[in-house]
Amino acid sequence: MKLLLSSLIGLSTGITIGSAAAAFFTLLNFISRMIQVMNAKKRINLYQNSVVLGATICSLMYFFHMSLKLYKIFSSLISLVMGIFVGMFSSALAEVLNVMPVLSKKLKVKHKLKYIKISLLFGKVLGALWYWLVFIKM
Amino acid sequence: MKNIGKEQVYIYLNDKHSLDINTHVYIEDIGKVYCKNKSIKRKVEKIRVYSGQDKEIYDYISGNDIVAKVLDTIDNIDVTIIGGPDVLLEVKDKENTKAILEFLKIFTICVILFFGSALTIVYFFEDVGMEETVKKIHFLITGVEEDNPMTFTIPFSVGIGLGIFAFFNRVFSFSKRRRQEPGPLEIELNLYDKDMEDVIIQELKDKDKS
Repeated sequence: MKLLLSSLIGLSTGITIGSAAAAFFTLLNFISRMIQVMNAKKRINLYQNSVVLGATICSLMYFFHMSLKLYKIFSSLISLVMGIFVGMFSSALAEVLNVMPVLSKKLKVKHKLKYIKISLLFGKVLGALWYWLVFIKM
Repeated sequence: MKNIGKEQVYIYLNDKHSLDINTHVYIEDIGKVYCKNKSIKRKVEKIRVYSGQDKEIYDYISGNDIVAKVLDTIDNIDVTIIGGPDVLLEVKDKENTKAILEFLKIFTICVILFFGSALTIVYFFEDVGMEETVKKIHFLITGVEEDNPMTFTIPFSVGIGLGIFAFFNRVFSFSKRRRQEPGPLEIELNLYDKDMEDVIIQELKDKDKS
């Protein structure tokens, strides 16, 4: 009985978290941007499924303390992919918050957006590298 | 007052029209024509408003041009444009996508989404602490417990840059049409400008009233 109750609570918690995450992804609109960049909008179902599978499988493996025991090179490759995802995610978030349009309007750099993008990019990459390689060891 | 001699022609314009390379655009392609006189209607439908292009491109026809062309060709009519005001033209080559390339694209998106959502969930479980998350995921893949594994964190940082680049930049492509598509920042700026103009007009109106 206890087991049933706890699994029921677990299931409902999972549903809440999962749907919140999915709602967040949709709100940020970066998946659609990715599809538009790649010009591949035929298999939208597949993309949804890969989001669902990624979250489910990883959360299972997380809780069971499983490990794939692969070589380190796979860790690098997967982290690169994860970085791409996070980069898109963070820039989508910044874009939703409307910071850059307002700033570029105020500073009258409307036609030099290229430089804003590049400085944003290098700032994020250098900041991340600094955090992982310098800050953490201090 | 009635213009007895003049026939009324109404043209209902679509917003967008996609066409192949080297095809001309006639009025019947970009809109619907209403006219009581059937022969005038047919004549109007067959007016060419845009000559074909030999490369992929975005272009537009303004409603004004259409009216001018129709009035030049046919005498004694009145033209009214409904909808519009402009028609966006998308000149597209016949898609000769290779199956491998298509598969690769879909595969890339799926891989990014798969691992991305995996990371998001672990990140959430770890109370939004990236340090722990990285450790856990590194363990998950390699089976080695290690603090701040550099083999993970450096590609991760580089990947962030790639992601931002892919998100903001205009599309790199051989086709001019794809390169004309604006990035999200350009769209956002344009929307912001439009909103601002609306507010300015509203404020001026309010001032006039009071």
